Amino acid sequence: MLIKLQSGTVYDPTNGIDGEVRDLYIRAGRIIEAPVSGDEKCTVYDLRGKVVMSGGIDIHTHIGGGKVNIARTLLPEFCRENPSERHGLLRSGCSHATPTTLLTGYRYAEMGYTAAFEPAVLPINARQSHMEMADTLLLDTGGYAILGNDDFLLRMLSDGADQEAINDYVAWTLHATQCVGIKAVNPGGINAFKFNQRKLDVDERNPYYEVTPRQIVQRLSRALHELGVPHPLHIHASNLGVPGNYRTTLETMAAAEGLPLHITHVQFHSYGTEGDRGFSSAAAEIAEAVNRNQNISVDIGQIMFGQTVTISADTMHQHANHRHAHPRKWICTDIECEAGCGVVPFRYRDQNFVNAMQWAIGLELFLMIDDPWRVFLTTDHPNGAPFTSYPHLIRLLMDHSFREDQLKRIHPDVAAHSRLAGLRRDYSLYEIAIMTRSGPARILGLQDRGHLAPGAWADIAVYDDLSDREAMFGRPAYVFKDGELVVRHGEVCGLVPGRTHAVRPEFDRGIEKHLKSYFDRYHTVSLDNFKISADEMSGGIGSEVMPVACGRRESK
Amino acid sequence: MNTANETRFENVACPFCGLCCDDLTLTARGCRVDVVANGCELSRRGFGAPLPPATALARQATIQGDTCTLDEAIAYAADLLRQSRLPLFAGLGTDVNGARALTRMADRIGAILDHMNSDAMATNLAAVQDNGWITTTLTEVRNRVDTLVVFGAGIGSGLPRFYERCFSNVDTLFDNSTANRRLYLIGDEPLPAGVDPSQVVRIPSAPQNLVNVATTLRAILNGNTDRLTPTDGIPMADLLQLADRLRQSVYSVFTWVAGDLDFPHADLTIQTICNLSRDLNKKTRSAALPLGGNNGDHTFAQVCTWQTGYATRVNLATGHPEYDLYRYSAARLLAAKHVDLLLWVSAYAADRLPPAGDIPTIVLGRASMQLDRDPKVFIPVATPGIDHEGHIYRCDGVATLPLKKLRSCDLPDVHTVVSRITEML
Repeated sequence: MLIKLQSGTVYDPTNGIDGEVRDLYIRAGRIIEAPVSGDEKCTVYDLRGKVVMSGGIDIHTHIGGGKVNIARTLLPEFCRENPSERHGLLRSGCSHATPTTLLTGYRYAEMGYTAAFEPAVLPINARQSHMEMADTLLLDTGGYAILGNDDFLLRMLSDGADQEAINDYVAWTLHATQCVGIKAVNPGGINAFKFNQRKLDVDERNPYYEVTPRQIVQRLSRALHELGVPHPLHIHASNLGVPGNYRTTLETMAAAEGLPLHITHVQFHSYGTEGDRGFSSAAAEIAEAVNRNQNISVDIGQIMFGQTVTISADTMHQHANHRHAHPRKWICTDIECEAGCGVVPFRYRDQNFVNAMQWAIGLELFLMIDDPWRVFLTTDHPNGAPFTSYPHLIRLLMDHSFREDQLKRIHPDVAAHSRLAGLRRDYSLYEIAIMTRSGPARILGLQDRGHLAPGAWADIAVYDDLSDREAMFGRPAYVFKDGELVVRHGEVCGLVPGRTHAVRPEFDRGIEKHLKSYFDRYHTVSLDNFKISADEMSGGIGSEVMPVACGRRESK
Repeated sequence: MNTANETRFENVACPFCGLCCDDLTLTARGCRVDVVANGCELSRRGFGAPLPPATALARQATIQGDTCTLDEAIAYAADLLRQSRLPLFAGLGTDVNGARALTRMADRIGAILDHMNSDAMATNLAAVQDNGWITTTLTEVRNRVDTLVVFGAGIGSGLPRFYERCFSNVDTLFDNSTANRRLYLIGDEPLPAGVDPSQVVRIPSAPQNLVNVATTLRAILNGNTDRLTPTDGIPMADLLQLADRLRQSVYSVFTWVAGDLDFPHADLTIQTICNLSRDLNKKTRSAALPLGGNNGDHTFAQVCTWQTGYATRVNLATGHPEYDLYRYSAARLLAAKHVDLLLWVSAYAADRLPPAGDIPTIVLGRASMQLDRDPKVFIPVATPGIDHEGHIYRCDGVATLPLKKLRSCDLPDVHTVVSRITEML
């Protein structure tokens, strides 16, 4: 059946379209050229005065996997306080910081999002991540597999393995876990914590392997580059949350030696030590470095005030932060000689100086980084705030007078210690579309998502053009997923299963000989059962894989 | 490998205890399945349970004891569910997709969900939901543990290969010889076969006294001994020696089997053990390892948590998930006659029967299940990991193992049956 979206105001940065009134046509799930014959039966949506964008793509959101379920288990009170009734097509569940999977899909769709990427897939836990995401309808998903604290890689580095071997292992991991990228979390630090080390700087050696975080960043970012994986190394840098850590962040950027590197939730890594309280904003230093280094991209990890839960593989810092737990209970887990998991519930308070500064630092970064193609809108859900706060965040970025009002409400010292009041920049709709659609698609290598040209999948969000951007982005008029109408007037009206984006870089399968010996000797799962096949994805796990093309492998 | 109608399977995952060992070798000849390598008593019993011949009554669905077609049984079950005012789904021994289908159907019609092992699960849930914990997983233990402290019993009997795989293993990643490991058995755990007795220290304790032993040990480690009043049953000398060992350990692990701590307020014992381990992390590394489980309990808990927010004992009858470890216990609901229909699922264990009583019951059971009375509906179902592929969770909650199909039988799996019933509702 043909669908015509008539006379909407289209923002499609991938194709350079900045607010032009256009018609779009959809057939069989994809956007098509205007049909030549006019007599085909066609459903027409009159979109005069409405804003049309491709569906939102969240590059970094913890929506699936063991750590989310650990947080749900720890915090039944969150669920109790936020129940959601079943009605019509929709399942019951609970929302807030770690919504049930079905509700995660509904809530994202109700903001006009059609894809979301889970950034912390432990390889041993990849099945669970994909199962949870398969039960998150309405969203295409994908995962970044965590490497950089696993004993296999650290042994390779310690033994002086050549880059080719590292590349093979990285590629093998991507295949085995059905992931679309690689993330390193506090590289080497989670492993060091298992040896009772409590801090690890970029050039500090792991106590057992004598490998440094810098080496891990170098080797992994090179591996992804040489394998032609579109998404660069996704790095949660060392020293998360530690005052003065902006230097660590700058060193981490330098470790990539000019190769592409994505620094995630950079807000948590942009702290100085100035002032009476020994805590200050280093957003200017970080923004300046991002502006100068074209190989660097970031997502922000904005915080919002209120109750949430922090979930991270970074047990070293989650363990250190447990004294801030609110409510006062927390979980840390060492996991399978791969990494770990720390769950610490947290309440960000607007009258707490540090929390209020964190809020300001995130906004400073958004406003001081010039190129919207290299900065992405995230709250590191749920670590900075639940993803449902995105419409509010968009308003903060698009409306400086609203921002100034909010600034007046928080800890009074923040205005004096932050540049925020002086930053008058307002994001345009075009820039929001870059940051939440075109940019994420480009940096993930998604060719037929995140834009509206013929050939693209018809993932489309239609918004009323309201001056209150929070109301606008919080309640789309229509959302289409793969060409199906799934949201009308801000409410889910149709259900479509999502699929999984994954990369398939070429590699030498000889690496499996070493892996098999490692698994047989040290692991408690066999190599064969560790690997997830594409058939298993579409079968028992329940989400079909859409391969994302890799570039040609570079010759050495 | 096929020889003379015998098929050999390597790296088979075993769903019959919480360890889910996946290094088993099995052979299948027709409907007969044998464990030929890396088995244990539980796996041999689980895989080896004979499938009744296709002609036998046990392979047929029944309505009130009379054989019927699968279609008839499904339609009748759907009728009963439709007429029920408050159905209880219990047992729930199934795989990931069975759990998905059951949770979906419970949400559709407003049922209460309670796994057959919820008493044990509730003990751990109460402990963690009040307090949190620091835990570890099997591969970490295998490679890192230098002091393993067992509280209570139930590991050797319930997870027969645990010591072999995670304590007495030969190789470790960090060249720390496993011969230097120490195993402290506090309580009634028998000396594990295959563990060198010179590595084992036994500290006797009655189950109800474990909390006092753990509290005393914690006081010693925190330097609060001056306020301790030695009482009967507290082996001070042993605990002082253990405390010394723990302070010097680089990776101590504290473990228990919740199902074995079968006395009131056992969650407080677990909390004390976890606090003890957590305290040690101020200076060294230590972790807790909750062991135990079978019949897909961890699997059901994971799926139910991501779909409803809660692991078990969830009431979906009010339109949204409500959780109460006390109110929504199957035993309590049945005794109080608060529910009017029981759907009992046990696809792994033929001997886990629905609770005795006169409530109308639908049973989805392993085909060899011998019921002592005819339920309203009995549907023999396939067993995950033998008759069909599936997924199961290990007890440490991080590894989901793929289950293999080892033979072809004509039995439907739980997911298929429940999905077909749901379509008729």
